[in-house]
Amino acid sequence: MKVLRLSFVSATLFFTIAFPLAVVVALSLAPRWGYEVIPTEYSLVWWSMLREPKFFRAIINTIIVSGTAVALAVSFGVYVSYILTFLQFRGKEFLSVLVMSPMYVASIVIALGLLTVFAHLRNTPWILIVGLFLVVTPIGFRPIYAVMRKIDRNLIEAAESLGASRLTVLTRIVLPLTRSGIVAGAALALGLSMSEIGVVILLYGPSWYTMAVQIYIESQWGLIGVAAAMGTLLIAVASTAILVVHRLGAGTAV
Amino acid sequence: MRTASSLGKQIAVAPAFLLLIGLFVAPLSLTVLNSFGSDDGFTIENYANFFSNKIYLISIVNTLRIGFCSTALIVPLGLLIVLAVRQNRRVRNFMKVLTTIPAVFPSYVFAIALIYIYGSAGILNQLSLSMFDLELPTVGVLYSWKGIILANIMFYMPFFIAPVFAKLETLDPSLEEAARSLGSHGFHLIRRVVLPALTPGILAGALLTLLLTLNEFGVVLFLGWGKTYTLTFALYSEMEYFRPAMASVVAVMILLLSASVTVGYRKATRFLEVRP
Repeated sequence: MKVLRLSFVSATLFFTIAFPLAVVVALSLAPRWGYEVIPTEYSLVWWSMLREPKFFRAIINTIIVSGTAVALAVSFGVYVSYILTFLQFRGKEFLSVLVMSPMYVASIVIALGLLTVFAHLRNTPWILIVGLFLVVTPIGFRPIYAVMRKIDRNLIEAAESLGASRLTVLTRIVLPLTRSGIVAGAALALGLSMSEIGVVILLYGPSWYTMAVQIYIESQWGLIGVAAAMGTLLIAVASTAILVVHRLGAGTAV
Repeated sequence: MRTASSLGKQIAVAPAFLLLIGLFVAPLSLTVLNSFGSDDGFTIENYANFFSNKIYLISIVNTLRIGFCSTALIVPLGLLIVLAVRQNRRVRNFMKVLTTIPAVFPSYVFAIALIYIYGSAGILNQLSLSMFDLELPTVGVLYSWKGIILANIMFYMPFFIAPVFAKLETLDPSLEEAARSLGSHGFHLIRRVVLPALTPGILAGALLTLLLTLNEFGVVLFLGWGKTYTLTFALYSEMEYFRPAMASVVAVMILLLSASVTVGYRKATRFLEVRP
């Protein structure tokens, strides 16, 4: 019975995760994959093509746009967590719903909304940054808030009674104690923002496109090997993010 | 704890509201308004157009079909996995790491892999052709709504499993022991003791899965090849043809669908939190 159970679980994991990932990596390493069951020769030809301007630009753009969006989303997540944890104000319940709500809206709808208002910003990094910021804010905010709200209030009261200012309390007590949540939120937000396609597909332009867009273009009308190499890069970043989150024990993203 | 003055407090919390309303709520509201727009003011012409055009109706049917079928298949499969690993702590912790995958992985990269596994020239077909001396490819479901469901099952199953695991962690192990000592075991134990205790987690997981599979875009874009028209794909395609008003109508439909599922999801999670 135990053997049956474990083989069922490992078969499921193999077919849903390991096998597809192995195929993507194999695609990025096979110069040709025609009518063979598995490729017969391997090389780094697709990987070295990533240095070409078109693909290199996609990688650099992704780093710039995602990096900025994540930095903004994490700062915003810290700020919202702080006011939700330490301040009493009207509309608190509404804010805690509002900050999570982009998660429940299809990202392509968020992108359409941004185009309705900021159409003139298309083909700039700014509209991509705003779109990705909205998409990753919930996933970045959640672990930060989960950690910050558990801080022992006695620590803060003790510091305040000893004359510490609000700023000192923030920088010397609240932020250091929230560090694991901040790192986990940043890792998840980075993984999601680099992989996200729904928001980017409506907002990109000829000079500001990302790896997700380039993977789409290459997989449909171009070099599938290059698409697979970029996909492998994205999966490597996402896997690192997952490992960071669970090393910190900050819980699951869901 | 020190309390801020009322004005200071308002200044401290205002940016959070302004940013989210300015960048998220207002643009979405304008999109809803746009769906009623035309050259000569307010009109419901776009909606009439939507409901009289077969392609949009097909996109609704496809979206619902993909969302509900994916969820209906993910729930039993995910439950089997949860039940299989529920007593093995090491495997369970390993599975918990994997439940983060759909949150950060690119779904469309999985779709590319599926093309090379189940596609007409994919590994599975090459294998069956070489093994059984067949003439035609045997596996041909990939480029239809069924292929999208297959991809959704693979990609979103962890999203269903995560809340069920969370519920499992909060269960008192003595519950199962007590049931065992009273002679309940096997299928009876699972059906009468374990599953009822997990119900809130199952409900929350199923609704989250439904929401995400209804809203899925990456897999449809990569696997649908424009043939499987869903609502998210219809929105993309309207924008490709520069028809923002029709795209806004499609967006309203997507929002209505998400809103109804989200209300259910929030009710289910509240239920999950309240239950001991």
